[in-house]
Amino acid sequence: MTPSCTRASRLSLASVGGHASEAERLELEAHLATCARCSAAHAELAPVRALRAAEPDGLSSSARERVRRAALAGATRAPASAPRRWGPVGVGGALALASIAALLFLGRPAADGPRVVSGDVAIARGSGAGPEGVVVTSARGGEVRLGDAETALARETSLVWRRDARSVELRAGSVTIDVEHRAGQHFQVRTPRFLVEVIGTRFTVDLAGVRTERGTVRVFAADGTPLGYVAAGQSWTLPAPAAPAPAEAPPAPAAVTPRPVPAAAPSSPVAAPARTFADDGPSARLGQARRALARGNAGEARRLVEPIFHLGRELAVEARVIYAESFLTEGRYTDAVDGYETVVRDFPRTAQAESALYAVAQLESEHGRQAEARAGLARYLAHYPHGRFAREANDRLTGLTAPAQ
Amino acid sequence: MLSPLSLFPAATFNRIRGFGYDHEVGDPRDLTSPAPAGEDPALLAGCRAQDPAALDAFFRAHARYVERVIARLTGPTPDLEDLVQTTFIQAFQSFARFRGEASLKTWVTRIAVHVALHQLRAGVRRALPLELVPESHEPEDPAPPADQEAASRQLARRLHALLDKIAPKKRVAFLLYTVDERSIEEVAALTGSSKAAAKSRIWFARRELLAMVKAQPDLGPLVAATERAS
Repeated sequence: MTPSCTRASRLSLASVGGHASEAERLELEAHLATCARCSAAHAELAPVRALRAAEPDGLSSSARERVRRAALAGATRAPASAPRRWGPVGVGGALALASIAALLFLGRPAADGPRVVSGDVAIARGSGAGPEGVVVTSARGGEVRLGDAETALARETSLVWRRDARSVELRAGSVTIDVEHRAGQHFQVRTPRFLVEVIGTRFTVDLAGVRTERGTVRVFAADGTPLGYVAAGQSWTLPAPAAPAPAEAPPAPAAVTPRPVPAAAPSSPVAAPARTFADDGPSARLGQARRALARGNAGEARRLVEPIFHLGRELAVEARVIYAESFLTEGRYTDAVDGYETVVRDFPRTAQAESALYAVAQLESEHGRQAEARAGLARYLAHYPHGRFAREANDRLTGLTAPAQ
Repeated sequence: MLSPLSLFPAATFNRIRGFGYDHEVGDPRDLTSPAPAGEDPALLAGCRAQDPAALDAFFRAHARYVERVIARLTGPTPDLEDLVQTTFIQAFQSFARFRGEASLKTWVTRIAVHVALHQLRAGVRRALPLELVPESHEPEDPAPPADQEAASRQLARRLHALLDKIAPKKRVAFLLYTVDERSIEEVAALTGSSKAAAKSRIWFARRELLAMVKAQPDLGPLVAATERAS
């Protein structure tokens, strides 16, 4: 490579990044015309030029709305850990500390294991949990800390905690988890038939479904197929298998209540066929609408559910919930509030009405309408003093400041 | 346990000089920039006071930009939502330390770059769920897609698959320089490195990428397909 080739390589790179002046581009072209090697190398950077010209895929409007809500919710909470200023410690100090931490960790593998906070909780290794797994059981219920997650175990709950994978394998019962978001390492709860991946939230999982109290979780089928998102105030329940399950498959959920479902919900491939309804019936339309919503296509979701408004109560309430959620994904929160109010008014004494009532209060709160939020939360607690979101509603109500003087 | 941010290259406290500024590079959330602030004082005060309306306005003003910065560095990923969320949560929690010497855009860019870098360094890249990959993106299709947008997406996937084999610091510096059109000085400031280190990383990434592209002759028609309609 000649000195002029070295300079040409630098100019080629600058040119790809859009940093070369007109004179430099002419100089580069003159060199490339006489040097086959540099010309080939420059041509090989063409994919990078093309990448520069392309606009990368961003988030869908619904995903952006989820992020907005989660980030704003996160801002009102204390950071998980204060940012560290290493200052004069520098790289060497940090490495030394990391080495010491690693040595301590290697010497005491159980030091960061589950810690019982209260109640009746037993912790044991083995029992088919694998070398990294720890079995946590509770006969009468209790609280335990799993890594950075605070968890409450219901009665008769059994799970396996794998710290390295930051995952819980739920074997029986129900667990409520409060966990902070951690980039790149999702907290997971796996059941025999579905997987819940956490974006940073408080949520409850049993073998039949998941209910989110704060933040958002992602739900996958057992085979990894993404099913959708469950946002705060929503719950998702496994659909009942249409065909008898094979002997080794887990039993079907005892009761399957249609509740706000974020996306099409095929159950485990071994437990049921992916579709259990006619492809053109109202149930199919609801499924299609949920999928459209999961893709961020709110208009399509509304078009699909509108004909269902006047059908049977169970179908109509689902359609109304999807209708309300479609506005939420577009950031049209006033319309979303109206949609949820319709659910509350027209479908009282349904699980959806309870979720919708709480969603109204939550939306008002998130948009800084404190008086309306307080009224909404009080209304929810009046209707559902022991409801699914009663604790969250009380917390929010306490947290809302008094109106400005 | 170290916080994720403590693992960032913020521990390398270099002095950056050039283009009329001279400052220390440390924690990206504390870093100030030579760029004039020029921000809405009311918005800034609201963000510092954790006013939800101000934070919301900040989010709406910068969300798409942050998505683009991260997507360009990581490539197509199912974790984009997660990474954007992390960026804004860290920004919201750090406003109290924002000194207002840099623009908010520059400041949030630094956080986004470090969140992307951390993700790449953690090596937890997951396959894009099939549901999120349009059929035209399937890599086994030997013929370049007919329309420019599909070809462009396929090329991005292919190129980022190659970039996955390059060390994250080099990859990020290279992409900031070549794809995001940042100057060497900006690359250095955004990645918390010296100018010399930034240059070196860009150069070595180029060399490694060229060797890989050479072994992928089918990228040529794909590039041609992306450029046909542009």
